[in-house]
Amino acid sequence: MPPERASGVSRRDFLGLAGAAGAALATSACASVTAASGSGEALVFDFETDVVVVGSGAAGAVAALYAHERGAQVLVLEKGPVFGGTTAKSGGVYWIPNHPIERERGLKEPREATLAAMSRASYPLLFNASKPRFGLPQHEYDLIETFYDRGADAVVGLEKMGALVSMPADVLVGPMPDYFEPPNATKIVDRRYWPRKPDGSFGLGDEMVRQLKAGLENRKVPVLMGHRAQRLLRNAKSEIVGVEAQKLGGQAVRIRARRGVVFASGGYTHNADLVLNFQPGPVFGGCAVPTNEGDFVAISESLGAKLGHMQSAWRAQVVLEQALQFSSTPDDVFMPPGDSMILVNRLGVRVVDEKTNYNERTRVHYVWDPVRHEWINLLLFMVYDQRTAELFAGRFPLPPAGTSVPYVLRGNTLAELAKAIDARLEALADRTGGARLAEDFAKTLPKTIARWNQLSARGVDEDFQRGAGVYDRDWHARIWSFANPGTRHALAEKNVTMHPFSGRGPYYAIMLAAGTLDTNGGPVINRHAQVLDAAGQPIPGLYGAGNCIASPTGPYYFAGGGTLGPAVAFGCIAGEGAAGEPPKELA
Amino acid sequence: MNARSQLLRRELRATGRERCGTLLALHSDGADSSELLPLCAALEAEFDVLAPQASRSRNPFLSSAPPDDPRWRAYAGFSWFRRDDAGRPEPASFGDSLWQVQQLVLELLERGDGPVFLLGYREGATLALGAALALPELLDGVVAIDGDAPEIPGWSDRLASAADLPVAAIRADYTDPRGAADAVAKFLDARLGGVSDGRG
Repeated sequence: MPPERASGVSRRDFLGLAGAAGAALATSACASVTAASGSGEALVFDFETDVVVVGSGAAGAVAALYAHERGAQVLVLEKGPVFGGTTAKSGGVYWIPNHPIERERGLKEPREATLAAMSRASYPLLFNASKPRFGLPQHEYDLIETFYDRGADAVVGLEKMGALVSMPADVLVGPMPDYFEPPNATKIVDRRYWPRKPDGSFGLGDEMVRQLKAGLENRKVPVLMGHRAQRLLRNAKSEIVGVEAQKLGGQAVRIRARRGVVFASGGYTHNADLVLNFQPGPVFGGCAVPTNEGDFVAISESLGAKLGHMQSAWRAQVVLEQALQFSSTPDDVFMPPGDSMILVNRLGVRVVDEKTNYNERTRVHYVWDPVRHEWINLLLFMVYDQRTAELFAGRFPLPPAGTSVPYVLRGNTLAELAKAIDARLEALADRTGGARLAEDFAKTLPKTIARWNQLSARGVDEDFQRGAGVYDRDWHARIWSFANPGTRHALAEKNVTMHPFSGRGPYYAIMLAAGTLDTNGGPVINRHAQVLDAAGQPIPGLYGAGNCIASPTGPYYFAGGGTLGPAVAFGCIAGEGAAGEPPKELA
Repeated sequence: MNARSQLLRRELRATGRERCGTLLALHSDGADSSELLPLCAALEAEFDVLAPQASRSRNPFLSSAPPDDPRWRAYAGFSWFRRDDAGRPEPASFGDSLWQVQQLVLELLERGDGPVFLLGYREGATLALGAALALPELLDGVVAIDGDAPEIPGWSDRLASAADLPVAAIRADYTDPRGAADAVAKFLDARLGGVSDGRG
């Protein structure tokens, strides 16, 4: 091998070129905010505008559109090389209550009942139906109420601007249930919306971004790509008057924001230090774009911002080996497919309803065993038989027929499967804290499966209530585990999500770990999307929306689109608010 | 780990005695690991074929959907990397896929399945040409059908061209990659004449 041409691919080098993993840059980004002109530092600007928006995902693009609509001159900064942030990678669904389409369909949105359900879902411990604000503190209730009251207007306004055409997301397979089930709900109300493509079909996140981007281009709103915001500039009155950004591979650029700055720069999934300090346990990967390193946390901390929900995330399980090999996890396990399939931990026991929604299901990884002194569910093993492998082949993470993938482990017997799992664990031990199967895993797993076979023969999961709720059944049968055509296997009748394991191998396992779509903690905003300081007062001229701020709906995921819905609503509020700010003096 | 790359793949073994190496076949954007198998089967020379599948589903929601379902056909398929407005590969996702290609090539060489030839179509051709820049000494030839070399400021401009690695860039805007079979066969046959010990 010629020494000058050492072969190899350093993924870290590529990350640096993508604007992420810049260790040196991250350090400088943590520096405190610059002294204002009043403190002696001359503020010289390269550009001047009314409103600067940081980030080009849904929250940022919507903020920029609404700021422009309010008559402001707007400029957008995007750290990465691709417009659209994590939205562009996403399913593009936004959950919006009380949309006019609901009313056109003759559905009356019961405002109080829906607000109660949202409040209960977000803060179950505080919820009390008989108390004012359902028992929530004023601030938390304000944000939920604001989302309810303003979300539909935000979406309808975008449609009027010609910047985003929406359609109900139930066009695919009919109405799908939310991730929480309000008590006494008699009918599924699907509040998910999708971008509508020009040909009338539905679009995903890339289509949502395409439309929002076209809206900005039509309005000639400039977007500076490859620009990482690294500090906010203040005047002598501590009002925000501009942003300093670092151009990738270039010099610092200063932009004066006469009226305000909106941050919509994504979560901190790809910042190992913040994950270590704030997440409740190990995070093995995340679907956020690699530039989501939580830059706004350090920038706002230096302004004295109050942080909230830092322990939270939109959670999803990921395939362990895949998460370890990609800078941004390519796919998450929305719902483990299969009926003759269970998840077990390293002891060989079930720990969760395998069909419950991904955000809640992933939380079970964060169970601490105080006696063993370990995350007992650090890894969960998706164990299934040949029936599930064939019947549901191709539903991620099951490989399609005719293909193979190394993350699928196989054994002709359960004992062989246990050996295969442990051998893989041994090979990965330096990246999993040395996780291995418990000594009696191979003895326990057959007992767990015997118990499962009894329960599924009756169709009732007495242990974890799998298939008892409408979410489990509908998302299983209509999306993630409908049978492949031409199969020799029949579906379960009593409980469509449950089927006994075959008494004969082969058996398979896939290792799942905790991941995120992105984190959703950060500086706290009020109902006007203003970023608050530690005393609860707005930092003049600073707004936030999307995954870079403390989630306005708390650590709870209402439904498909529970991420993008609030991002659009508060993006709109932030953009309008920043545009409506009085111009600020530099001195 | 007993496999370096975690990419899903299809594998076809050469059946005759005149096995002449492995074709690592990289599909186009929106396709899957089956796309290039007909082209590979149309070649007379006897190759093992390893056809990996990009990990990134174009449809994060319904990556599981059978592609023959008409409701979902428009959203099926997989892509190797994202692109910026100018059509250039986004570095992080491109780097991830290039690393996967490197791991697959090393896996093949370690188990004695060389020499390794890369075959890429459209987006897969861009990835193959990136591998030609980054890993020339591991490869014995690269065929790129209807794809441009990757332009990644700060990376591709720093690498010398892979002058000593034979590269065939075939351009005809094929709607079906099988249309390139004759040109691919001609290049590979010429290469096989010059390959003796598995190392070019």
